[in-house]
Amino acid sequence: MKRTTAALIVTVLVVLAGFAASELPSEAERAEPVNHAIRSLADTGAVNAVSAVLFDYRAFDTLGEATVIITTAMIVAFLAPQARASMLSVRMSGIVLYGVVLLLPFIAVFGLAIMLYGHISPGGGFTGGVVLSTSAVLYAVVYSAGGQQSYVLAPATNKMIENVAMTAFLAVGFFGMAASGAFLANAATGIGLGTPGSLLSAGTIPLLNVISGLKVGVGLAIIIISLFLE
Amino acid sequence: MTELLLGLQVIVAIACLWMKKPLAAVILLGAFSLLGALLFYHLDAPDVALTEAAVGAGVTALIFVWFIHRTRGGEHQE
Repeated sequence: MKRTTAALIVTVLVVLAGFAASELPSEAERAEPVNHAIRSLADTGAVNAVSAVLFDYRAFDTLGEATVIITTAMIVAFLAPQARASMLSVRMSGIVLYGVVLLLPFIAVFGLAIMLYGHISPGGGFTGGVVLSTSAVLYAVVYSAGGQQSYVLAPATNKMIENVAMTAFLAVGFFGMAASGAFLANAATGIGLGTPGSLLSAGTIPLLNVISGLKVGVGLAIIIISLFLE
Repeated sequence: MTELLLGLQVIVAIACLWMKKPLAAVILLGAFSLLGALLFYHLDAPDVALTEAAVGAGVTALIFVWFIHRTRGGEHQE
């Protein structure tokens, strides 16, 4: 009975989503860049309008999200200290152990690429950080099983990176304040926006991408590994 | 294409409800997120698609699989 109700709710919601999707612009209309995308390129130098919103116009909101993650990581690390984490009782098979070795470099490079090219192509600090954290979690879970704990980075290093990245984010914000009077200002500070589409362009956006990517990656790694090995 | 992906999502979601084993349900939930990511990509929102794939299909499935393991397979009788 419960399941039937749930199935009905899913169907109704998806039919509603279908109606909403039918109102969206057609593919031909979507191919043309809209007004605000052109404006954000002029304002911030970022080709990816989403990154322009996340790390320039509404960078303060991103700082709020970063604060949520650092608070959660702090609380989880306090309640479930990694230093006293117990060993896992399971043993991983050889297929898992060698498969992870083969997969990890690709996951890590993919995460770094999403993070570094966030202002040019889809992605950005948050997504790149999540991908990076999955590689750290995968390594910790697979190689801590049935033996001694092993991490990509020691828990203490993780926490230090989290703190340094948080401070760096605030430092970029105060730099904007000192240079132009607005917290987290980008183009107004007078730093060059560079050629749109090159790796070093869009002012502080790539910097904030890397900072928030490291912060989110390390923060999620702290949270998940603490819960897993607790 | 949008309708096809939405339809597949309904099928996967309903199949997920009728799975006997929690692990099978979690894997179907990952498939649901992956279809969602494809849908976002099709609707020209690649940023959201990446996040959906990383968080929905990646981290969520990882956490669920781990806690199924921690609760000894989640045996549960209707």
